[in-house]
Amino acid sequence: MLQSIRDRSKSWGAKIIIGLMVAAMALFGADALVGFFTSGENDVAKVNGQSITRQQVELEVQRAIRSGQVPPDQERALRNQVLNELITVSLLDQYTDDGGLHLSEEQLDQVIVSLPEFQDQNGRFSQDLFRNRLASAGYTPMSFRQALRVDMQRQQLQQGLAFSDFTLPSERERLGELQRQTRSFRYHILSAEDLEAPVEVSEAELKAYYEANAQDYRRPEQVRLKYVVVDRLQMAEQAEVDEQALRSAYERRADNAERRVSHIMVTFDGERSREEARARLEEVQERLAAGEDFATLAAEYSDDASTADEGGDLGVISRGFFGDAFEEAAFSLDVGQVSPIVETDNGLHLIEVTELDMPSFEELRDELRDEVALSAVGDEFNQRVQRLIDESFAADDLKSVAESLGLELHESDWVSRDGGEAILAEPGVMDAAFSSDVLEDGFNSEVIELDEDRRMVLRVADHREAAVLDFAVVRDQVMAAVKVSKQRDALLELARARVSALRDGEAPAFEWQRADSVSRQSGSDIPPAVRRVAFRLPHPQGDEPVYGHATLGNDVAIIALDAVDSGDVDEQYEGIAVQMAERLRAQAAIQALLDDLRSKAEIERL
Amino acid sequence: MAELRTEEEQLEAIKRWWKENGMSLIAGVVIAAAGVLGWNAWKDYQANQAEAASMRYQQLLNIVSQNELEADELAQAQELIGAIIDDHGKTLYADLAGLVEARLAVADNDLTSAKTALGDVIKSTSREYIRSLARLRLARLQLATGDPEAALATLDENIASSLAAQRADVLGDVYLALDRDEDARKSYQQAMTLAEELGQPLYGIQLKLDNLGTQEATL
Repeated sequence: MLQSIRDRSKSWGAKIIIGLMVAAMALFGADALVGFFTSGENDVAKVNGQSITRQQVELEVQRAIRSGQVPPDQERALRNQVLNELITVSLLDQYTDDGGLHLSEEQLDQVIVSLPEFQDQNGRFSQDLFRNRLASAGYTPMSFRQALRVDMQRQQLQQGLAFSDFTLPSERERLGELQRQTRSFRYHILSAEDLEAPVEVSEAELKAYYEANAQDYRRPEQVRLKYVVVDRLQMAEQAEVDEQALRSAYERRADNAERRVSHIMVTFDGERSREEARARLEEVQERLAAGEDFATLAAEYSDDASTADEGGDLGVISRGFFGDAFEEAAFSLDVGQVSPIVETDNGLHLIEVTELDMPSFEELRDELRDEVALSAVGDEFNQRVQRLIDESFAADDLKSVAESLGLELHESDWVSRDGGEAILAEPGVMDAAFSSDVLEDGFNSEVIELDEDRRMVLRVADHREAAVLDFAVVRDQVMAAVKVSKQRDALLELARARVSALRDGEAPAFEWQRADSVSRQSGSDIPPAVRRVAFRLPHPQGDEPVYGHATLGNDVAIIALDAVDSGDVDEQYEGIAVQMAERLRAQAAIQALLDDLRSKAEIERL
Repeated sequence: MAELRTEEEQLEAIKRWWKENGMSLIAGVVIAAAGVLGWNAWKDYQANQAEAASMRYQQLLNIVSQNELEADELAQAQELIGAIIDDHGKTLYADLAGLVEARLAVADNDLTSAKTALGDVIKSTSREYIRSLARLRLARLQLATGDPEAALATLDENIASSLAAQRADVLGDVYLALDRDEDARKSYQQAMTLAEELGQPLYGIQLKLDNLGTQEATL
């Protein structure tokens, strides 16, 4: 390539191009050119020609996982969601860029300085906090500013759409009127006992209903599965753990356990030489050896004014605060033991451990066993998973794989696409079972990663298509359905007859329940279905009530709506309603913009 | 380069090469530099313009995000809107400022000015979606000022299909004002279906529909 450039560089054109490249590198840096030649390989989607790269998706996925909001086993769903969000964001960014939205460096500075995340206790912006927070979220200051910039641009757009919405006085009035409306009505519930004879169902009616509603009696497509699972936890449970390993695990933990310590400190600059300080502490050691109390001696000898009167007590310490020398001494002691003389930047110390926050070996036995066993089976687990991958791919069946790996071969009952139980209900399992490789071609599935500790391979042992269940099988269900439906029809018929009698001026042959000036919200013992219908009946004209009916399970209610009134004004409630309406409209304005952009965009998923 | 024997010869070779190629190389660098500088200057100018618009707009948002506006704040907001629309006419800032202007007029109980503001946005914007949104809001104002016929005409214009649920809701209100109850019912029902499909819930639509009464439940 270099040779051919040299050959061609004799021409004027090539020289100018090289000149351009030199200038471009000088002005924009080599990155620009490198970026120009390497783009396109890592794209997962293109939005109106603009790339979304795999790295972008990964970065966001990692951020979400690190923030602890998403369990790692939902990574795949998360990845999809992240990609969707990135597409949305990309559409909005293009829209705001085209629209000339822009934020200056000063505006960004103002925002950054005002964010509480970057402020110290005094509410002042802290450069250190800024860097640390960014680093832990995986940003550089530059990339954070860029992210903030596009975010603010989107906010400007969204706020403009939301804040510009309004509620008109007439709209507020109307909404309020409807909301506080009250209705006065009477109702009476008819049930099976009101019928002269219980409903009869003939065999022909059953058949007819069964045929008309065949869709309700379908059985979905189903498979029977064979599967094997490699389970790290189960392996750990079965692993043999010897007592020695448990003991050393316990000691490792004890070495690092939090402990309460006291110290006697003697300083040595200025008035006292180092040797004098040492001599002073040796004196303490002698008196300790003679059986004197550490706390009393601390009060007498220690130069640490803040602890001397507390018996030298430093409180509970964990590693990482007191410097290596001090900690090495403190964490090698048992309760009641006193260290040799230790030197730190502050002076010379004698340290005593007064309490140890460490349960006994027996108390921790089970926990330690799990810990030791889990780390012991780690390698074996990985090897088995690798063998599972290799062998299940090569084999024509699952039995040989199970035998070779010493795994139990499980068999399931019939399961449908959405109907697995226990392990079969976990994400990804039924997808694999109904994938074309497994279902149609009869291969073993790929290794399914259920979570960190479990891998599964399955194959289809048997398959049956969706079918309508035989009449004989579902006869009871059909019977129940037909009975309910016929009873309702009969009750409705009865209701009509009763209403017709009332209209003819007959006295009611039953007792009404009264509901006066009921609002939509007010709590009462009126069945919800009755109230709902009462508020949906046309307004009565004149004195004649409007009759309606509501279905309550197997029963039917007759309703007589007498009056519709405007209820009492509740300013607070109506204010909230208006706010709700406005918020929903504002959300819709933003949502609809996105839908609009999506419908017009060219979105390519690669 | 080992075959170039002495320093003088090397120097001579370099001079010769420069004589042959120097001019074109310089030309390339100069053209590129001029291009880049010009481009940067143009970008800078645009960025300055955009920044000015952005500052004004952000100030406007800060003012209108409050619940109640004092008279002087209202005046300041209106001044900012005027400046954004005059100086940055083609930008999205201008469109959004126009929409905000209508809302401020409503808050000031000046529905006529609100209609004018939205009418201006509809005329001036190059963005279909913004135009749709402005039409929807204009129709509501027309209805509230006693002109349902005009509202009907406005809703008949092109409105983005992603706003169809809200359009059907307003259309129902318009039909109701025109005493076309059956059309109103159909519109509200359509609005409910669309709201479900588009995932944009509408507040109060069930209330409106219920109040029209349904024959299904009668006896």
